[in-house]
Amino acid sequence: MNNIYTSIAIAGVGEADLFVNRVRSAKDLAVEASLNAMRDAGITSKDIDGVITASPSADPHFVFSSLVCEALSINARVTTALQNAGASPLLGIMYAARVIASGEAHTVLVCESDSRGAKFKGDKIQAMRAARPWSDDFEDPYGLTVPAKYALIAQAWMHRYGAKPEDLASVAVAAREHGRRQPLAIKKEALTIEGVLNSPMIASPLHALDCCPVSDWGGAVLVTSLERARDMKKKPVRILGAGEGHGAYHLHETRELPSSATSLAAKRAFDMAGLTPKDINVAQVFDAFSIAAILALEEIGLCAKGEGGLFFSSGRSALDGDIPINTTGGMMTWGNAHIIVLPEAVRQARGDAGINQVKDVQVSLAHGIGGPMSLSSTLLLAQ
Amino acid sequence: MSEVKKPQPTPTDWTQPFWSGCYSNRLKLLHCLSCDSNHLPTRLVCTCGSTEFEWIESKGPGEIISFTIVHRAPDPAFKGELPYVIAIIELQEGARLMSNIIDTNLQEIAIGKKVECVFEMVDEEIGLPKFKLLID
Repeated sequence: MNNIYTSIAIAGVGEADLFVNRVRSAKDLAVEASLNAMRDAGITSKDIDGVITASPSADPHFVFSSLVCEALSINARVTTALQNAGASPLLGIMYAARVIASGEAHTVLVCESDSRGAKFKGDKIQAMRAARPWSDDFEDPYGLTVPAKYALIAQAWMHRYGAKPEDLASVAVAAREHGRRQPLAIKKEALTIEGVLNSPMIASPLHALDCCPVSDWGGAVLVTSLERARDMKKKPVRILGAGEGHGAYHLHETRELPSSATSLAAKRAFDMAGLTPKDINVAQVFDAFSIAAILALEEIGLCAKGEGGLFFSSGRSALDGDIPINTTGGMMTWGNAHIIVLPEAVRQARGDAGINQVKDVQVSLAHGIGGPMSLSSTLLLAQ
Repeated sequence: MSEVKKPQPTPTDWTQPFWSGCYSNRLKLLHCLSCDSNHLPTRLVCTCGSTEFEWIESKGPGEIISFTIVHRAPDPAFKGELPYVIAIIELQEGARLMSNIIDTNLQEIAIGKKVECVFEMVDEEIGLPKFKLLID
């Protein structure tokens, strides 16, 4: 099969300021991030002819991508709003690459944003459930929550590999070490295993600090042809490999607990790139819940099955470790911002990640998950 | 003041036999006439690709595949029951489902333990399948 990605590049990235005390809609957050991505690439709205957004849940709109196009005064030839939860940003990059390779558009803005921090007041779990417009007959009558879904996976993982709550807790401890170095981080103090285990139980075995905070966020990535990207401000970042993997929608239809669809997504990306997990120098993985980050590492192949917790607790994920993981502190630090894996993965590949920069990055990995098991995506990036 | 209600199943033509089966204390499953596998009506096409099903009745116990003890409820209707147990259960016939494990000492719940189905009536037409630990 002809690999379309060889002619594609990422030309710019940006985020909205996170955890600042401002009132912004999902649209405002998308615009703020997108303008930052345009500044990064040295282009304007007039240089963009495609827009792919996600679908905000706290501040929902039909055809959200049209709302963003209008706000940014982009005359799009191609636009759509994806609804694949945490997998939307990476899938957006992949759809953008297809659109550009087909010639339907030349420069595509991919962005994701939501104002969950501002909109979800009080009990976040209840607010999130109340905002959801559907009920699932085979899950919701039993009182299922999002943390409970991941807890079911975590319990199966602990059972299969003889792991302990301490192994789960090591994810948040490692994330805090990276997160507390960030200028805008709220929590500057170190976190301990005991600190995680002493936080309130949400759904066993997951404690409050095994779950990411709820936040506003916005992130944006500009995808264009490698040729065009060479004329823009920053070094083009190429997509060496891209893969998506699909599992069942309902947990009860997933035959292999605790597996997710990541092994499929990662294998496809590695096969496309002709690379193996040994080639990865730095990785940004989905870590809305501790178990999600652990499964990501194991299924991408960065560590053996059952050893994801140990990877974090032994320091292998640290900035000076074997493979630094979530160098900005991930979703554990920045909340529901699924897309934050992308700007950071791109900067790591370019070598301009500032205080987070890992030395000699050849291949930078980004990973996203939609639903605990439903949809996974992996990108392998390089200069 | 009206009581906050829990989310209830809203049967469709396809799922009605499952929910009304539960109302008459029967756990009904879709049996594939092509490959003999059994499913909840979350699927309308079998994993083998066949669309030829018949409804059968689950005969026996199930096994806990995973579980969680929920301490934070999705809505106020569940608050009175905290902490409660959600589990993935595999039935003897191979089908799996999500449900609650009820009337149980939380310390006794573990992956691999056997459970039996009991039914909780939601209204005049719908029942919910729930499970209790089997004492062996």
